Amino acid sequence: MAEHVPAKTPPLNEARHPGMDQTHHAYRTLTEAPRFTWPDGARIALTITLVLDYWELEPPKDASRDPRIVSPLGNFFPDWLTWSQREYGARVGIFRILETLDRFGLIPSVALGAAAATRYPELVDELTRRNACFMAHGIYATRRITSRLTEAEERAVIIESRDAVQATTGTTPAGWCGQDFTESTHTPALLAEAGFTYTTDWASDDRPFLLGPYHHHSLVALPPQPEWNDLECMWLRRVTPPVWADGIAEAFAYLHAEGGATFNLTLHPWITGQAHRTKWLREALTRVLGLPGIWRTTTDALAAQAREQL
Amino acid sequence: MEPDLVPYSPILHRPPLRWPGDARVALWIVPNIEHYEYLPAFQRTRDPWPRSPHPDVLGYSQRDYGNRVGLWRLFELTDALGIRCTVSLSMAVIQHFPEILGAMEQRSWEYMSHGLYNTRYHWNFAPDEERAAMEESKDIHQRLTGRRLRGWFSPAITNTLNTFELAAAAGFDYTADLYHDDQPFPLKVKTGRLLSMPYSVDLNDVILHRRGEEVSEFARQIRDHFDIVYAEGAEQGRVMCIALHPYWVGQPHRIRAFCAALEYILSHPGVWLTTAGEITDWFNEHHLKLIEAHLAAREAANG
Repeated sequence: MAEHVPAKTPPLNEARHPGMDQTHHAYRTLTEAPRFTWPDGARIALTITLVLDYWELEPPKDASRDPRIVSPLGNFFPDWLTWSQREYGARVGIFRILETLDRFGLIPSVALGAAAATRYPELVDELTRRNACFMAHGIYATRRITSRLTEAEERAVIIESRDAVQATTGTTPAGWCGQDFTESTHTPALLAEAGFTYTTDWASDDRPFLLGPYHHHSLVALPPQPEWNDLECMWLRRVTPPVWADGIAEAFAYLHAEGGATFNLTLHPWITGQAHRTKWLREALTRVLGLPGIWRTTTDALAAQAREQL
Repeated sequence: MEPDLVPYSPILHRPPLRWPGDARVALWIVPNIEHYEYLPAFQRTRDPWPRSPHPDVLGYSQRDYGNRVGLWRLFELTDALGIRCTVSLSMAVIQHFPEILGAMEQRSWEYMSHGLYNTRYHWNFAPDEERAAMEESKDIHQRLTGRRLRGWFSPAITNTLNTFELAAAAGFDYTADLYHDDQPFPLKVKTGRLLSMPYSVDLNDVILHRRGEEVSEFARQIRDHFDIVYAEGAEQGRVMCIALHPYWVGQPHRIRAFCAALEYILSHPGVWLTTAGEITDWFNEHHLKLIEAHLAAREAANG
């Protein structure tokens, strides 16, 4: 399929049928959604997604960056400011986050971009040592998959991303966390074809659901919950860290009470790894982990558990 | 030449508006129950998904969260507080999701059309295109609810110079596209009769969202706004609208704080918890003539 271009005139006499306006998944209401059961009777599953990617100073002309992410000075070239700010995450910030996670007994699930995997071998070692699970995450932070790629190009990106994680960590990734949660219409089918079993690109729910099947293979859609993702919340919306931490604690408490849900917190070392924000990560986790009945897990284990109940 | 759609009338110079039971504030609560297309079928002006070539799975799924999850939390809240909502409805929602229509009908909620999809903007619509969208909205409502559609609220508040004439000619009773007032107000249209119903683009969760504010700020605004209009409403009846989006306020970190703000309002006597249809009926029956006389007198005095 070529890139989708909307018509210039509004359609007339359109037929509309019950169900979604795409074929990836069915409609499901909160009342119909399963209340998942987690190991040891836990009320809620907790995962931490750590995004480790490499932001190019000079991306190719046809690369697709998330237009929302620009330097505070504007969209100019070269943007050493953003490049170095991101690099701070991999050099300094990530250790603050890892130390915090260690303290709370949390193992990160790492969205590992292919370029980051080769540029930061020490970090791959640090993470492997902690039994982190690794998801594929594209190649560069500055190259999203969009419907502007041909299907063949997209397939090649997915395979290269998968293979880079395999080559650097020694495990074939089961999960896919799309760069900036961007997909083409083909992406889920191509992920299934490449052997992935779950993705975190779809923010429609607080409980996992299935995408597909695509040639008999379905993908588990694990909720990324971007509302309290540090980038979406603190970087793009400029919500202050104390308010961010409050939101995390309240969302967790609410979902804990509702029962059978998942809670994922996505962190970027260059954002939450800034010292003044790390403080509020600790505050949020202290409040979150004050509740009983939490399954602290990784996205790999969560997806496998969820699949059994879908 | 400016369109003379909303004749000027300062609120304290109008005849006093009295609500049923001498309530001070008519409160209508408006969830925007919308659908944003995965692949928008149509685009002339604004790009509904400017973040990437379509689809934008993030934007799409974040909004779909409202219909799958957030709305069902809102139903629990409104059931507990006894709130009947007036829905700003993407009409395609009740075609795609009969479950939502069933749950709203069970609660006797009212609907005003918010266009077909919230990804189809009406900027630069020719009159026949805008009329067709209104007629299709009316038709969907009539077929699926058995009732006449009474309210018009342009999708994503995208409208034209013709919107109000067309809405009046199409037989709508009120529109939520204009924010000039704390009271309903008759618009000067050539055919039919169209009230401007005070919706809010200020007490509106997604407007706060864009400013980086969170639910504590929304709840504070709701309380503060209420305190003022409640006091003012003793002299001159007011409308208060709370506009929300289930994909925002139905998030687990927001719903309880929002609920507490509504409980605060509802703990006061003299609050008429109502719908746009009921406000329209009351206004037309008890107040419209007074306002028309006031406008005629004002025109006679000022030319």
